[in-house]
Amino acid sequence: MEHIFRGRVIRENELDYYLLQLDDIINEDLLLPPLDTEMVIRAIWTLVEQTDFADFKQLFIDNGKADWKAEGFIQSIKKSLTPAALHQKIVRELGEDFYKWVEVEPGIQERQQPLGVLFHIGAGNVLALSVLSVLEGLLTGNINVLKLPSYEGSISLTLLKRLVVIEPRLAPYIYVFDISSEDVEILKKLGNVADAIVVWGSDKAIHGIRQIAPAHLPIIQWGHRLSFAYLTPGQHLTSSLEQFAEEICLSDQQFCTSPQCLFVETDDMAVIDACGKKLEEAMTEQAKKYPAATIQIHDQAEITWTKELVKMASVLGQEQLIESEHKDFSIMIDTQPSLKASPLYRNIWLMPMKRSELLSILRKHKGHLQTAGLACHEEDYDDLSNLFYRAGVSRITTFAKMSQTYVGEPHDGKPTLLQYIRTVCKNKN
Amino acid sequence: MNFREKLFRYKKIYDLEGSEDLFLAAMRESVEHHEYHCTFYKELIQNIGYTSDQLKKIEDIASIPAIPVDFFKTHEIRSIEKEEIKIHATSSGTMGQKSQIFIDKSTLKLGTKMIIKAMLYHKFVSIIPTNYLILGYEPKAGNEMGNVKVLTGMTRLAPAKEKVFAIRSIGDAYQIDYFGVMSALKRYARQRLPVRIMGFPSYLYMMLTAMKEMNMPPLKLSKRSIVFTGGGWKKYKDMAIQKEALYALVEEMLGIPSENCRDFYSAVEHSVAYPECRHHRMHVPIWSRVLIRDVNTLEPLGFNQAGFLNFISPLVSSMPLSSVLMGDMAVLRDGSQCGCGITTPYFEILGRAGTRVSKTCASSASELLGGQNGTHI
Repeated sequence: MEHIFRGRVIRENELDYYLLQLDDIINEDLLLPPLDTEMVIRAIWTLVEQTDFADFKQLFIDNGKADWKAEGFIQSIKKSLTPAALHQKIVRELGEDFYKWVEVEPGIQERQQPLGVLFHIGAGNVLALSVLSVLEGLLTGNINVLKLPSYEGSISLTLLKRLVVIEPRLAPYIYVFDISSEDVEILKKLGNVADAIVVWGSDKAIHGIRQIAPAHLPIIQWGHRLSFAYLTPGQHLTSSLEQFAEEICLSDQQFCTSPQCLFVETDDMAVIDACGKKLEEAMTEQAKKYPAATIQIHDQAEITWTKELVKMASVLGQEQLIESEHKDFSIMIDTQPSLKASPLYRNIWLMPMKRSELLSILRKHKGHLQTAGLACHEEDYDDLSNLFYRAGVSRITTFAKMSQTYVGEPHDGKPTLLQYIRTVCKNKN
Repeated sequence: MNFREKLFRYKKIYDLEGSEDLFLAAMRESVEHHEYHCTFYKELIQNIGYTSDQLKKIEDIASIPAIPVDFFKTHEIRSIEKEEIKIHATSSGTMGQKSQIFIDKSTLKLGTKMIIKAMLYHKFVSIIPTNYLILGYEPKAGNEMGNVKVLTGMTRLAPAKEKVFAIRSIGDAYQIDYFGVMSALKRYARQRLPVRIMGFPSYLYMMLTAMKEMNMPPLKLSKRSIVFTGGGWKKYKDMAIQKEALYALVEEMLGIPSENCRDFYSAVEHSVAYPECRHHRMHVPIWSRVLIRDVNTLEPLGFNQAGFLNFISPLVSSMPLSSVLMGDMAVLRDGSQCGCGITTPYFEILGRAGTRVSKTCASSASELLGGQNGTHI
């Protein structure tokens, strides 16, 4: 097992020796001159240019992603790391020259300052996510300590090793530890040198970190999220459902932005049945275009389990299952509206919804809400979107754009870089 | 006497072949009984055109519609009138909804008969006064969890000299009484009488590690002592250790031989208990059949392949539990070479089914419910 300590690769048997020096070394490095953002941006782009993404593509494929999807994913990561994209992100989130003192009142000045040391707890759910988290820490001038997620393979370690080779001046800012989440003592030690913990992952992972983090330490959490789609009947219905089917097949509902439920604004089950049929047709078409990848056994178990429960409830007329011939997608109709998790992989809940009940139904999951796909008449848009924002939703998109992000887009309603800096001030009056 | 009763009177409890005709006849009876007495079941099988006539040979039991146990968390389904309910048990899930299971007089009678036969077979019945340590909840009015009832029932297998409960009721809440547990163990060790310790494996493990952390010297309990565990690790599955390691720890800290450590699989939604043999395997008895089903097609799989655990049994008459799909992943193995004296197949639980190991950033059902549910006791 390998780790990176101040940019240098160390072996497992050296870990304890180095950890003893961690405090002193970091205390010294905190006095280094501010990290040059331009240098970081250049190093990141050189890393992208020098990396052969074929290996990574294979890793995505091994993780159950279709070839075309792995390619698309890599392209989107590359695009987000170009110097132009990174500049744009920084300017949007932090302004032009964020390290410069700005006079806010006579004799009083403010400027931005890195938080100091960020302790990133990576999540294994999205490959290379941990690296991206560290890159954001570098862009904001922080020293980054990363705990690798389990089951990630060596992607993050390899990339960060290479980054230090490309730009040795980044060495003092990069630490990577391949340790288990069970290793509470080391986690606590790393938490103690940090100014903030950045944690990615499930509620359980976040809860676990809260248990061991000191009370004063800020926790910046990027947790799992729940998204849904909302449709009002009208002219746009058929085309919206076509877009929706494409969105489901393209994403396989694998992102926090992916819909798990489709609400149709009606109290007439005949409308729901008609929507179910239309969506089935659209899904059949899209599934031909984008064949489903093989699903791993535990995910398949959840899908089958959920569908069997729907079949049981259908005996009582409470739910209904529309399943494709090849079982590669399903539409699960529930007569009782609620926001609930679907087993993903092209399995979607379809429910009738009354606008009057919408807010209270969404509010039950306020901490988990993220994206609402919205297809409605123009005159309903403001009313519905205001209601969604108030319920806790942070993104509203068309059905076609649910999984697509733009450069510098806030993450769960927050500009990410802004989370990793603080505003300092001086008053010389 | 009907076939179901005859099956439960059958003497050799692991003679699957000899009792096969009886089992099939009892299953036919079971399907017919629920079809007649339970509207839901009637609709369920009529929708797919199923009838008990399709049960001709033992392989046909796979065609009995299997109900996923989580259905009983959201629906109250009975084949009896309210007045006939003798026991209302719930699964011991700590969060979320619990299965509502109703047991009538005839199920209770046959179930008791079944348990006694199994306990006699495995030589768990004794007349020697025994000290009990129950690593579970102290019984209390209003507590309907199945495991409390089972554990209380188990203390009748040998006359109780003393019973100590690890989780004591304090008003509305429960609290773990570490001090009480440790002092009971020391007292039991001095008395030299057989001790029976029973409860969740997680609690047993926590107790043993606590003894170690407190630097308590290992105890030498009577060699005739028995440790019964059941219910799995539930919310403590992060700390779960292998069965063998747990039994070794029991032997080290309590002096109870590993072959006297027996885990049970039981579920309120199924009611047939599966005690481990002395080689720690859960063999299938004459009262049920175990199928493992493919997680995609639900077709029955052969030995050594992972899938959904499906129990089939005519035991329960109060609810249509003739064939239930458990929330566990399991494998079935050929038991003919076990060497314990039982040759029927045995199953191994691999973990919970239907809860994804989150590989996405989308919220999962268990997160929305606020925690993992346990279904079996």
